[in-house]
Amino acid sequence: MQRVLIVEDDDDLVETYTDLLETYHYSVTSTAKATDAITLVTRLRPNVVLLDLNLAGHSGAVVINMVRGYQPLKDTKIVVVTGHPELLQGKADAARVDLILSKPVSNAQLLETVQRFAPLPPVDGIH
Amino acid sequence: MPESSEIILLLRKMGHDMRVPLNTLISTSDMLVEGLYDPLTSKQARAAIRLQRNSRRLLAILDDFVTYIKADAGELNLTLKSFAPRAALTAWCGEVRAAAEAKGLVFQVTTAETVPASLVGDEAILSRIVQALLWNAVAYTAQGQIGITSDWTPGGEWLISVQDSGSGISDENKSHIFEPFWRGDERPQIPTAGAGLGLPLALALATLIKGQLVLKETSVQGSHFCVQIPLETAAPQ
Repeated sequence: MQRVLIVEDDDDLVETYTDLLETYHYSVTSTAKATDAITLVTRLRPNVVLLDLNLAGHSGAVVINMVRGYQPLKDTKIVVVTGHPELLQGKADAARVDLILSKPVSNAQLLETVQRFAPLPPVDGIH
Repeated sequence: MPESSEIILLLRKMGHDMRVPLNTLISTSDMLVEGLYDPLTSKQARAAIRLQRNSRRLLAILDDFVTYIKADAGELNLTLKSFAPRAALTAWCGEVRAAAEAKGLVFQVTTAETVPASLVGDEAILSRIVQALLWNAVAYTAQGQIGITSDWTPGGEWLISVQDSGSGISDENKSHIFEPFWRGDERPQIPTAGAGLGLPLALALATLIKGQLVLKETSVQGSHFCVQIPLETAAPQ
């Protein structure tokens, strides 16, 4: 099963993303804290991390630093989902993530992004 | 480029136009939650509650925005009525107190004996000033306490102080905290779902009612905001 880690401190948005991705059979875990995300990303080895930057407590940037600085996680895709994409423009972190999405993100856009980085196996009987 | 007065007018019209689709969102989500269409599964009910909650959040953000524009332009109409300050302050603190206590903070409200039993003012505006200061304190305080005290000055002003045990505001950030939509490098300790208008809105409202709002003190031990508002006293109700 493909795994997605959501790092986002708005509970309602987490639940919305989770409902969508679970409907498409992704295994979804979430946390509101960047520090907990670091533990989870090491333990769960998600295929994709959906990362908000403007988190309460530490910025989501610490997750980027950790994932990109740790060789065993080199295949982990990081998708920044932010309401302030301008904060990343011209910064080193922009080149270290796989994609930056600007909120609000449509369901279709989110799903297409996750499916691109973590494709699901074809379902039997559907061609 | 339109004049600033034209921009204000456009923003006010935009605010009005946004209320119509928001009204539909709020009413429809209310009906979904109340089961007026068909009974919902538990997953559908959770989704409907999210719709309900977030449409109200959007309305609150819009209200703050429109109120800020009107207050800043001095165009907000005041509704002056007599009220009991001690009871009012307790009521205004209700939701913030719950949020503070939920994150383990001690929350204290103190009203000095010198505060008159009845004052005349715009309760809606006064409550928004107080709540903006309190939400700001809750957002930036990880542990310890938040205290709100109210006092009466010899000059006939209601003096409200909000003190927290947060990590304080840096010298660099001090000059920006009353700017609308400004976000500093100090990160809130709880998610802040707003349009970044808390303190600027409080300042605009305090100024509108001829009060003064200042950051009195800040250090690594916490911050202390004071608002001083001239109010008439009224005969006790």
